[in-house]
Formats: sequence, structure tokens, C-alpha cells
Amino acid sequence: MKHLSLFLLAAKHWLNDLRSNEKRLLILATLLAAVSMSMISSFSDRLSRTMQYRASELIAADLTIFSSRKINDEFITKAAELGLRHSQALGFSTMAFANDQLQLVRVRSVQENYPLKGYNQLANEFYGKGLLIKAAPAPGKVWAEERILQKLKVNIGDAIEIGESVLQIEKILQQDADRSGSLFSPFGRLLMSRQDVAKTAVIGEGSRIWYKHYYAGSEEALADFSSWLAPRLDDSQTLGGIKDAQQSVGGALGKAQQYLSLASLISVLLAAVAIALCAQRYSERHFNTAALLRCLGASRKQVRAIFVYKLMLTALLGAVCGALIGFVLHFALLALVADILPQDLMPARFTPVLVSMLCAALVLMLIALAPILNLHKVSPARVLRRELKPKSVQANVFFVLAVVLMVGLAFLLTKSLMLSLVFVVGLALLLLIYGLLSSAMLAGLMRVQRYLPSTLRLGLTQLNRHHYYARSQIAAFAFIFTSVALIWIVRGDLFDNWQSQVPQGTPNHFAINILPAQKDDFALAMSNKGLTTSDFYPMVRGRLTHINNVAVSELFKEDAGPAALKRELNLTWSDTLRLDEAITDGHWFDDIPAGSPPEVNWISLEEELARRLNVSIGDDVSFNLAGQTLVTKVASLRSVKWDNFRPNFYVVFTPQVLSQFHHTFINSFYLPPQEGRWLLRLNQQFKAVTVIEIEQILVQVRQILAQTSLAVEAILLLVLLCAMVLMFATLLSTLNLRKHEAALYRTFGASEATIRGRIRSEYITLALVSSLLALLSFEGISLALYVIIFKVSWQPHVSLWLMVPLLALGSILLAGFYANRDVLKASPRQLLQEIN
Amino acid sequence: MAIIEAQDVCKSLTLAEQSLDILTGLSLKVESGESLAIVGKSGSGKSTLLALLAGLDTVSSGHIFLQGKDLTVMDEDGRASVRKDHVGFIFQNFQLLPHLSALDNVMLPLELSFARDARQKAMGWLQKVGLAARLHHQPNQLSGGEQQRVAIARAFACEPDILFADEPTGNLDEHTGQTIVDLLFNLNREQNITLILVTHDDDLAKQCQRQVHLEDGVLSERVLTP
Repeated sequence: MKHLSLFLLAAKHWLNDLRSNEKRLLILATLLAAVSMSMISSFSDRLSRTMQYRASELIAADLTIFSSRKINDEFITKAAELGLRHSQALGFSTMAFANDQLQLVRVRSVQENYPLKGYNQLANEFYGKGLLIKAAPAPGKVWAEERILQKLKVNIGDAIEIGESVLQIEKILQQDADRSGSLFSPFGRLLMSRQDVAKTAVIGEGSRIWYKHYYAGSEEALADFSSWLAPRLDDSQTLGGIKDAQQSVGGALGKAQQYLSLASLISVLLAAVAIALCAQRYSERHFNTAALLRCLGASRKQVRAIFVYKLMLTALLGAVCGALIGFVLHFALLALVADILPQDLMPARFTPVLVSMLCAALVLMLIALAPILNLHKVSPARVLRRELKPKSVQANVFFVLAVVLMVGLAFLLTKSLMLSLVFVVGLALLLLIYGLLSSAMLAGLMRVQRYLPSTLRLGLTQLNRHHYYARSQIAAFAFIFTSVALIWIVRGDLFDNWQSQVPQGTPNHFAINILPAQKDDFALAMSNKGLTTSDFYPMVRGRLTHINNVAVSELFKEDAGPAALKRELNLTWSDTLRLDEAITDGHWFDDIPAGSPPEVNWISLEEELARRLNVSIGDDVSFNLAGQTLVTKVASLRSVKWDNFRPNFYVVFTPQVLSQFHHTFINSFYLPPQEGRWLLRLNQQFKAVTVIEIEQILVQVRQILAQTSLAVEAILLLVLLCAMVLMFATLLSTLNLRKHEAALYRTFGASEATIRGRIRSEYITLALVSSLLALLSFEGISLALYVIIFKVSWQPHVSLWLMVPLLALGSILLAGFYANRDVLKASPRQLLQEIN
Repeated sequence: MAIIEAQDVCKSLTLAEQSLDILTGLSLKVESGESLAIVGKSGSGKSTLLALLAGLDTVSSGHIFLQGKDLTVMDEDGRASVRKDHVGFIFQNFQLLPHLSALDNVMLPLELSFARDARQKAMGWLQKVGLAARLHHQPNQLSGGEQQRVAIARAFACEPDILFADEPTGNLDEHTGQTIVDLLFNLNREQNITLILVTHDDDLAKQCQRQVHLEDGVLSERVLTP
């Protein structure tokens, strides 16, 4: 009952207190932290679930099981129990026959409910418009890729023979709903009904076939099924999930999501610093209230309870409203990227909103509690002697807790513990360095002040007079401008990065199987058409057989190990390292350390494949090339940019070694989409060449980038808003001091213009000093990032050296004069009364 | 029985590593219902003595008994509890909470004591001090005299045994000050409350039954001449 009475008393005071600037800013800062967290986490939650959904369209299901052996029926029973939908496919390679032509094809025979997710992209004529169809071929019909039809010289409606059955070509298969498998396989794909497989009679003892199960259903059922499956899968069975597929669409969107999380984190940190400043001033303003309450007989416990309840109400209002506003705003953010999302978006969940609510409230409580707890230590004698200030509570504990909380929040937003630790600890250090540097800068500038313009001299004298406040203000402003500059530049780099990823004219076709004898003619045909092509890369097909003389079949039992071991690899040669690749370990061919035996066949291996094969520099790797064994030694590991829409290779040989084997060439080129029919003529001239179109993928990626750019712009606004709140909080922290001074100056006869001039000088100096500090630290951070982390050349950001001081001057003067409007307007008596 | 008794009280402060004696071996007894004025020059330690007697501050040595309870052996919360049950205050600068209305300011000590009829009592006292029409005004909407009336209402509302007043007319003009003094003494007599006030206004001091003079930390009783 007593607690309720105290709570009601605190609530009444809290309501009456809402008029104070500190309280409003405290609520606003909490609100913005909650808005930022709730908006971004709701957005990310829906986006990642939508991406999952989208990715599931690329594997035709939510979950797949792939095996070279028949999959246990027990799996299907369990899936049915859990309410999951199920479909099966059987795959094999076989010869297709028509018009006296033979062609090896990769067949996927599917049930009538295939695909469970996504669509098959089909066309009714060569290079015709693709239609998205959610269906499987009917018995007796097949859907085949253009290249099969071209090789077999057949058209839609014609018959082809597969084994002992004759099937009719119904449609051209442009894209299979299940896009797994190599894009650059030399054989075309063919989709047929599962019911026709037996009639073909191509499957017998020892046939190389594969089985695939597709499952789709609710998130919970899928999670249950996955955990049930885990202990039951044998080495030959590979579980395929949406994560694998996400890599193909997730790159750009993932980066955007990371950026949004980072920006959100910065906005929360800005809000947290604002909360700290407001809470400090709020607690100082309430020393008298606390003293009076103590004087009127309130116990320390009661005083503490009253202020903690008030803080809780502030947290509640800020966090609840902020999280709800954030939830509403995430719809706006989603609307910006709506075009690239599927129609049936995953429904919004309330969990991210609740988590954000709790986090924002915790941020306020932990940061503001230390100064607020000071209040119950106020001596009641302060009612008689104002100079008595409370002994400060152990703020260290709260500081450590706040840092832990910040790391937790950073982790929640970025999902990377390392990044979170570096970010938060780095930031705490940065604030500390700002404090030290601002003192040093003020002292240094004071020494050379006689050489400075009069405005700066006056401002410097003013700042130096209130050294303690000036230092914290400079540090806070420098923090604001560094954050804004950082987020601005990262945004620019992100956009540049995206634009360079898919610039206009990015290759939208790959040509494979170009015979060496036809290479020059093919290049001529391309140049006659006015097309820009990539280099021609030689390609030899080979199977990786041994690692350090141990067969890979022994190293990786059954079908375990990377997919690269299960198929023939496309190998190439080159004597120069490509510009978009980098050596991560070892040496490129022209840089092999002296003393190595000359007869060694050196190779360069893609780093991720090397990691999965457990291969390192100097290891022996053997290949089977057209029946001939070739033993090689790993000279270097390379990082490869897989998303550059150019031919990329796992293994690069030296020209001397590989060129003696039978090879073809591959290149990529850009052909305007409306000129698709020219490919028919090209194909007639170069019959062996297969052209693969990837225009659809490019369109999809471009769309994603354009839409995510908008989302990034939106979050930048939120960061700026938080920066403004922190700016006001910083300015308010010295408002009493300024009021007191202004009142005395006015009493002594100073005009409004004089006071305005003093304030202006002080703010101009503050803006210039803090922006100088911000620019120095920003350049320092970017230098470290570029040189140490990204390993690229660094250049100073010249435009920022103009932009940041201007922004600082504009914003500090505007916000400063707004915050000080009473100081200039009110009479000295009013000002003194207010302070008392 | 003495409602308040100070025995050999000393108070010293350490300023810039130098010890400064403010009160030295001071003793005082005040009977229930009595009115006492503590007078002296600025800086003589009047406010410090008032703070010690009211349990707002701690002694360096000696004892202070309020209603027979030794304040010097109590902790902060013990003294707060004594203040809540027995003591009322009136200050020179009124000490009203700026964001609360007159009514809420008067209700404050009652609410801290969890009084059931806080609102009715507070309204009654504001009526007694002549502010029935200003219940919902905030301190900055009231004149200095009106603010001190609110402070008086707040002090009497919790029915204290002893009332401490620190320069109650110090911030008011002569006429308003006299009105406030009249109000204070009338209520004091009516409620039979012990009053201890600090002032350097001789006229105000003369209205008290007893006067003590504080100089250089030493207290001396003034003999009143009729």
C-alpha cells in the first residue's frame, strides 16, 4: 500500500515535471532509441524472413535432402506427421535422341506437386518471353533447355527419345525452380514427370542417380523436422536449406541490412549519450527537490523510490511509444522496398517490438540511474545551504553495466560479437580521447589566441572560463560530427560498391564451349555486333582425385565433402593474377620462392574450397584430366569475387601445364535484352557454343540495390534526428550557467546585442574546435579501416573538411540560439528567479 | 519537560585543510509551547544551529534531544523519521517545488506520511492562510508573500510539535513580512506549537517569548525587557 502511495506521489510529480526541458529531452532520447531499434529490428526480422521465403523459391522448397542413395521413407512419414508438404525428385544423366542426334542431358524427374515453392520459368519459343509457372510436366511431356533443343535440332511439339520412351517437348525450360547445381554444366537440363521414369528403363543396377526430397511448411514444423533429422542423416545425405540459397540473393541485401543495423546502433549510441547528459542535468536540477523531501521527513529509501519510479515512468513512456512508433515506421521502410519483396510477405511479429521496448528502457535506466541515485544522498541541510552537493555514487558499476548492455544491443543489431565489442569499446575509448584532446586543443589555442580573429579570441576566453563544461561539450559535438561523417561516408562507399557491382553493361550472357579454332572468329562476330566482351578464359574439365596422395573418396566418405568433389571442375590457366582477385596465402606463379624444383606443376586454389578440403600451401593435389593424372602443388590461395558476373574458377594452373590438354574457352558479354534473337544466328554460326542468359538475375540484383538505397537514406534521417537531440542535450547542459551570466551582464548594463555577440563567438569557436577534432578522428578511423581492414589505398576526404565545419556552424548556431532564446529575451530578474 | 535540548554541542568544518569552529560547546533547552528567537550577525552560525536542532545536519560533538530522542545517535533515516513525525519548517526562500501547484506543495509532507485525508487537510490549511482561491496556482504564479503563506500552510498541515523558521520574512517587504509574522504567531498560539526561529530582525525576535544571541559560536540568553 505504501509503495502504491509512493508510486502515485511519484507519478503526480512526474506528470507535473513533464514541462521541463530535461525531462522532455530524456523522454525524446529514449523514444528515439526505441524507434530506431524497433523500426530496424522489425524491418530486419521481416526482411530476413522474407529473404528466407525468397531464397526458398530458389530451391523449390524450404528444406531439401539430397542423396546418392534412396532416402528412407521414415523421413516422409515424419514430415507428414508434422504437417509438412513433401515432393520427391529423381535425377540422372542420360542420352537424349532425336533426328539422328545424340545429346547428354541432365534429367530431373519430378512429382506433380513440384515445385513446393517458387516457379519454373518457361517459354513457348526460342529466346521468348519467360512465363512463371508453378507446375510440373504432365506424364509424356518434357520441358528442356534451349541448348538441348538446338543440339538435337528439334522444336517445341517435337518428340525426343529418352531410353525406351518417346516424350513430347512441351515447353522450353529457361529456369528450373530448383536452381541448385552448376550454371556452367556442359549438358542441358530436362524436366520430366516422375511417372515416366520407369518407362524409360534407363535406371538399372549401378546407374549414377541421385534422389532429392523437398519439404515445405511452417517455421515451427521445419525447425522440429530439422532437429529430428539431424541425428538420422547419414554421410551420403546432405541437408539443403535456405541459407545456401540466400547467398545468391543475399549479398547486397545483407550488406544493406548490416548498414541499417550499424546506423541504428549509432543512433542508439547518440541517444544514449544524450540520455547521459540529460540525466546528469536532470539530477542536478533535482538536488533541491530531494533535499526538501528529506527535510520534510522522507527517508532515503522513499526519496530513492520516488526518483526511480519517476525514471521508470519516463522509460515506460519513451520506450513504449518509441517501440510502437518504430513498429509503424517499419511499414514505411518496407513500403520503400516493397517492389522487390514477394506479394505474400511474412506477417509482422511483435517480438522485435517487445525486445526493443525492453532494451530502450534498460538503456535509460542503466545510464540515468547513477546520477539519479545521487539524489537520495543529498543532505537535507541543502535547503539551508545550497552549496552542499551529494557525494557521488559509485558510477563505475553503472558505467560497466551500460557498456555491457551496449555490447548486447550491438550484438542484437549486428549479430557479430567481435564487431559489437570493437564498436562499443572503441567508442568508449574515442569519448575518452575526445575529452583529453579537447583540453589539449583549448590550451593550445589559448597560447596562439593573439593571432586569431577577435570572434574566436572572445569565444576561446569564454570556453576557457568554463573549462569543464567546454571540454564535455566539445567532446559531445565531436562525437556527433564524427558519427554523422562516418555514416555519410560509409553510405557513399556502399552506394559506389553497389553501382560498381552491376554497372551498366554488366555481362548478361555467358558463352561456353568456344573451341580454340573458333575463338578468333567468335571474338570477331562479337566485335562486328559491337559487343564488349570479357577476356576469353580457357577451360579444361577435370576431377579432383587425390590430396597428398590420398584418394578423396577415402578422405571424404560416401558423399561427404564439398560439392566440388562430386563433379568435374572447370579448370583454367593464367600467368597473371586477375585484378578482382587477391592472394590470401602463398605466392602467385611469378613470385614462387627460389629453390623450388622446376618440374613442379603449381596451382592457385580458391581459399574457401581449400579450407573445406583442408588443403594448405605446399600440399599435393591430383587431378584426373581426360583419363590422365596430373599431380600439382598448391602455390597460393586466392579470394574470388563470385558476384562479379564474370567467369570465375576454383583452380588456376600455369599455362605451360594445362594448355596441352583439350580445352575450350568461356567468356561473358552484354547483349541488350531486345536483341535476344541475334543469339539464334550466333548459334547457327558457332554450333558447339552454348550461350547462357543471366539477364533475369541482373535485373533482380539491380532492383534490390535501388530499393535498398532508399531504405538506407531513410535510416540516415533517423541518425540525424538522434544527433539533433544529443546536440540540444549538450547545449542545455550549460544553459543555467549561461542564464546566470546573461542575467549579471544585463544587470550591469550589457545590451542584448552584446550578449548575442558573446554567445555567437562561443558557439562559433565551439563549432570550429569540435569539427576539427571530429575531422581528425574521422580521418584517423577511416585511415585505420582502409589500410588495416580493407587493405585499400586511403585518401583524405577533402569534401568533408568543408562540409563538417559548415554543418557544425549551422547546426550549433541554430540550435544554440533556439535553446538560448529565453536568455536573450527574459529580464535579468526573471533569469535570476528561474535559476534560484 | 524540554521539547528540545542541546548539550555541549560543537560543530566544526574543514575548509581548505583548515578546521573552522562554527559552534563551540553550546547548550540550550526549549520547553514545549515556547517561542524562541535565535539572533546574531550574518555568519554567526544561526542557520547551522537551526539545522542541527532540526536534525538536518550532524554535530561534531555533543548531544541534541528532540522529544527526548537523541538525534546525534541516529542515522539519516532515523532523523528523517523524527522530522516527519515532529517537525515543520519555514524557509527564507520558501522552498516550494516549482512544478507543483500550491495544493500539491502543501499535500507533499502529508503524502510522505501516507495521511489518508491529505487533500482535505491541505485545502483546509490553504483556506486558513487565505489562499482558497489560489489552490491550483504554481509558485511562479504567486507573489512572495503568497508563496510564504503556502509554505506556512505546508508547515502546519502535518501538525508538528515544533516549528523551525529560517528568516521567514527575509525575502519579503516590510508590510508583507508583518502580515506573515502575524499569521505565523496566531497559528502558533492557536496550535500551541513550539516555535524556533532564526532572524536578524529585532522586531520579529521581540515577538518571541525568549531570545538567544549567537556570536562567535557562543550562545547567550537575552533578557527581555517589557
